[in-house]
Amino acid sequence: MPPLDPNAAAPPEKRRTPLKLALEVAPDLTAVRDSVIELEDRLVAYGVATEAAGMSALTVAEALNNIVEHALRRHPAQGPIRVEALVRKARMRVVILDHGAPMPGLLPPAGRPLDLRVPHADLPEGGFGWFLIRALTSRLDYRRRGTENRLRFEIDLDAAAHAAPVA
Amino acid sequence: MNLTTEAHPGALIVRVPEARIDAAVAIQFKDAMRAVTEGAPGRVFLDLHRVDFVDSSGLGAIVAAMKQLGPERRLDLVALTPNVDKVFRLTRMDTIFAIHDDLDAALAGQDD
Repeated sequence: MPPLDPNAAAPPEKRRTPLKLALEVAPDLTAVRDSVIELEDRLVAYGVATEAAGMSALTVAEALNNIVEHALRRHPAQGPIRVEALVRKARMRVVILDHGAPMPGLLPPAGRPLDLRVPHADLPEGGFGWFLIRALTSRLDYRRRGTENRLRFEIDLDAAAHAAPVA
Repeated sequence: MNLTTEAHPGALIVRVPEARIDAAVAIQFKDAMRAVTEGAPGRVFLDLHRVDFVDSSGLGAIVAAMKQLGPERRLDLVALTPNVDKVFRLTRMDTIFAIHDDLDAALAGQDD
């Protein structure tokens, strides 16, 4: 029997080494935008499919916008926000750290689907953010330690490219 | 946010010449939509072919733009890019808006 070639089924060269990213994000929405663009560009440069990179960037954007608009809204001086990401094979693990207010009840929102069976005048104009985060992540975990919020989640990069509505 | 418009008989086309409708510009987008659609008769087609990123705030602003047209007028969406299309499908907002692949077809079929 011939020896197994350890690289026979390996992904392209540039995807063999895990990608590690760390970003410091100032607590304003324009800085969030710039950081999210940088994250998406680096994922694509690493070899992540365009659509998976885009949905990953969206997920991180939702988490960061929530921190800016809620946790740090009254405490912008307590920025910056730190984003750490590790991409290995087809998974991205993300850790987001901030020193703003804790999540209400120390629990991340459930992100339930919104009821769209209402007259158009009553359709929701917000509340989609946590729904999208929940739909696009797994292993989501939130901890408050001292003055620090730590949100962790994983994104399946293969699934993100084909994300379908949650039943 | 700058939007460009093109008037057609019974319809107004609004084009978003920027790549993102996100939290940083959601309010400006909503206000700009109000300004360009005010007084315009008929259906409004929002052409999003240049937009490759819409987050939840941007989505909310598009819903708000539809609502501020009032019950008599429609806001249809045209030429969603793949990731924008996914945001609409994930949130099921694709069931609320008429979404057209192509502007010419949308205009041709506007008596539907």
